[in-house]
Amino acid sequence: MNLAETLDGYAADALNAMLRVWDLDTAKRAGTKTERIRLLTAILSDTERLGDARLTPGERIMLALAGRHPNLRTGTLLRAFRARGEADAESTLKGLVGCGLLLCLDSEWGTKIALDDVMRRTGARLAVAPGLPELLPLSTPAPICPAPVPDVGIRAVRPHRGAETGARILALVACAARRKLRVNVGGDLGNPALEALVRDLELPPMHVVWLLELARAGGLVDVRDRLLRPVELPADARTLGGLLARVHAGFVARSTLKDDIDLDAPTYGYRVITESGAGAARGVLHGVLARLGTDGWVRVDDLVDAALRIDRRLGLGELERYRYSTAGDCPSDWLAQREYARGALTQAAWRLGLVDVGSTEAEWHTPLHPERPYEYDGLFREGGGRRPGAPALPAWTPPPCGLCVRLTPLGRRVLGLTADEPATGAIPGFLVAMDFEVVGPVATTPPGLTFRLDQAARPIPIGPGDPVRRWKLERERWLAALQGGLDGAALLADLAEALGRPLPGNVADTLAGWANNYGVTTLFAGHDLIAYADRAARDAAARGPRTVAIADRWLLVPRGGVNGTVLHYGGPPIRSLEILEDATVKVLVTADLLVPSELDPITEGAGATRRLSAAKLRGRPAEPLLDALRARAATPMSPTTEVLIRGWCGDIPPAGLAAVDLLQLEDATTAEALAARPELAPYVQGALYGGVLVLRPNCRPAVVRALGSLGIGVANALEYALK
Amino acid sequence: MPPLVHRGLVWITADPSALDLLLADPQLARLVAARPAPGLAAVRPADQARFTARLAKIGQVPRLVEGA
Repeated sequence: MNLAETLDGYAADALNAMLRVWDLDTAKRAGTKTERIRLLTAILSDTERLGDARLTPGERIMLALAGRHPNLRTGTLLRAFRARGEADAESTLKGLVGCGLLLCLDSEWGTKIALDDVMRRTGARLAVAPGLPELLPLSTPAPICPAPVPDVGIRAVRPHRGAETGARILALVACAARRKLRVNVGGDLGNPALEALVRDLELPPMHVVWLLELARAGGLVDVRDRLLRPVELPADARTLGGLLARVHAGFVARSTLKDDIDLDAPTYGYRVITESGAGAARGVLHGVLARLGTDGWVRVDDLVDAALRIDRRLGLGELERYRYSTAGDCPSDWLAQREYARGALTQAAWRLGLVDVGSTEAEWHTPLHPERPYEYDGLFREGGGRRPGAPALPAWTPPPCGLCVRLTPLGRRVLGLTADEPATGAIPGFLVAMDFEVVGPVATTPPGLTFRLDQAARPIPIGPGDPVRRWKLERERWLAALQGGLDGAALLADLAEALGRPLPGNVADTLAGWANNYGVTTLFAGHDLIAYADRAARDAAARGPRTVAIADRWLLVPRGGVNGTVLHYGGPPIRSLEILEDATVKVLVTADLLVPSELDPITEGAGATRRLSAAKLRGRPAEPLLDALRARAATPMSPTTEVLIRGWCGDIPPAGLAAVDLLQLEDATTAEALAARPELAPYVQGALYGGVLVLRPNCRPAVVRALGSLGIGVANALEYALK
Repeated sequence: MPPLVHRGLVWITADPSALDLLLADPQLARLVAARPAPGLAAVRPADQARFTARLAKIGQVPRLVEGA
């Protein structure tokens, strides 16, 4: 997109503002928007004229940053500028706004530039002349080189905890996949879910909450349907460095995310520093670490000084000047700033694997609780500013801190200074045994390899002073790690490289065998299957990154991803069938995917018209089948159909059939009376309706005689009954 | 014409011949609710755990993709 096209996207007011700064007279003469764009294009394409602006190095960096940030606002730009380790952010911004290279779109723009208004509001919208960033390449910031501390001066060392933090975050993600962790309306984890995580991770609640915030900041989990759900592990997060880099980027970018400083001990500084201030301060402090020009030990105080030179109001948010009486001018505030900065460098950065922490003192001493210098507070008044007539501020010296930090290789990766972990070659003492046990020296095994082994193999408990770590390769854990996104082939290659020779044959073959069976089938839960008319229509729709095209006209998409006519199989049964009395089954909804699997076992034929098969029904339980058919039938089945199905299923007991003699009498009363007579009673089996008696077999002559003795003749009873 | 959306089942994809081979197992085949296309089958959500458990018994570990 060229400059003119970019300018066309600007509002007319913004174009006017640009013109007024550069050429007020011309601006008055320019009429239409097209003319204004033409004039501005000429001005901003004139590198000589831009060169006349005599930009300082800081201004060039700020303009370059401004061009790389969408939806630019004052606070965003200042934070990005300070995070690069550049000082004088506010004065640089003022200078650029003053000369018209940065425009404030919210303020009254005209003959008077509302500079103070721009500076006071961190959310003021800014615009940068679109051609400028292309003219200003972003240079590498100058390194910060504080005085080095020799290794012999470090008396105690705490190695970074990056691998542990990464493993715990992944354990949390795995727990979110395994359990239903419910989130309350406010977006926080509910108490039952938090208790479950505390139990699973064996960590205090505060640690769990912090890890959860990190996982959310890194985009590893999100909330769907009020449940915490894992996100498929992105490819760049499958190494320890990549995972922590994602998490770290989110940690620095999200100002509302709390630090972990309070996890170990509450500090005064943490209470004073506001959330917005802490977010910006993290950017500055980690920016200082990224500019560190040495791999050796440096004093934490030197880094804090460097950060305070970049931002004098480090950690004090915008509201601070109204909320606190001393407005950042008092040693009490300076102490809080230092305490916070020390904590952020020696705890948050340490936990994220950026630095190792060392102490120059024999006993580990963390000076996070220096006494507040109350004697200075009386020199300031409530509401801000020095008390009138107060004596000059006596000199204040910050209490010294004996802590040092050393940037780690993992930290360089996390801060984006290097690519992913380099290959290390054979590691002395590294062992992969034929009994599937892996042994790695603590000191020399790369954190990335340790991290992946923690995922893919069961760690064997070791003592606190044990110089090696041990794992057992087990099928269940290996496959779970593959499901979690682990690259099994890459891990096998790295194990062989660390071993310095090929893996034992049985181990390599078995692990490869386990891996070969992974991923042959894929289960898509929470997905819709979309049926298109043909391949062309399907291919035109299959654009999303999470869609999967199947066969000729089918597409799998996450649930709700495509609008259309929905056939929902999870709700009440779809009434797709009509069952007629002659055992014909008509399929009314031919698109119903369940019909074939339900009808094939009981019908003959295929397609929309089928017929119930007596042979296929034989021996099937009738009632469940009838229930299923009733649920799927669009119209009620007739009783004759039901009796047919019951009969074919063999659900009706056998009927009785016999040849008997019937005695038809005048009426039921007569028949009843005669059946009771001793002459006839021995020959009567029972009575039917309408005066009909059933006689015992082979007694017809005796009955005729008995009736004769009673004066009753015998006619052709069958004819009588059929009259 | 809007497309037809089939919802409420767990979909199983695999290479068509591999899926045929898998569903030759009677216990797996009994759990399958639909087979709309080659290489595609479906089970009811209530049967998903039984299906994956049976897959595990015959040495297969499916990749699980969660949607919305």
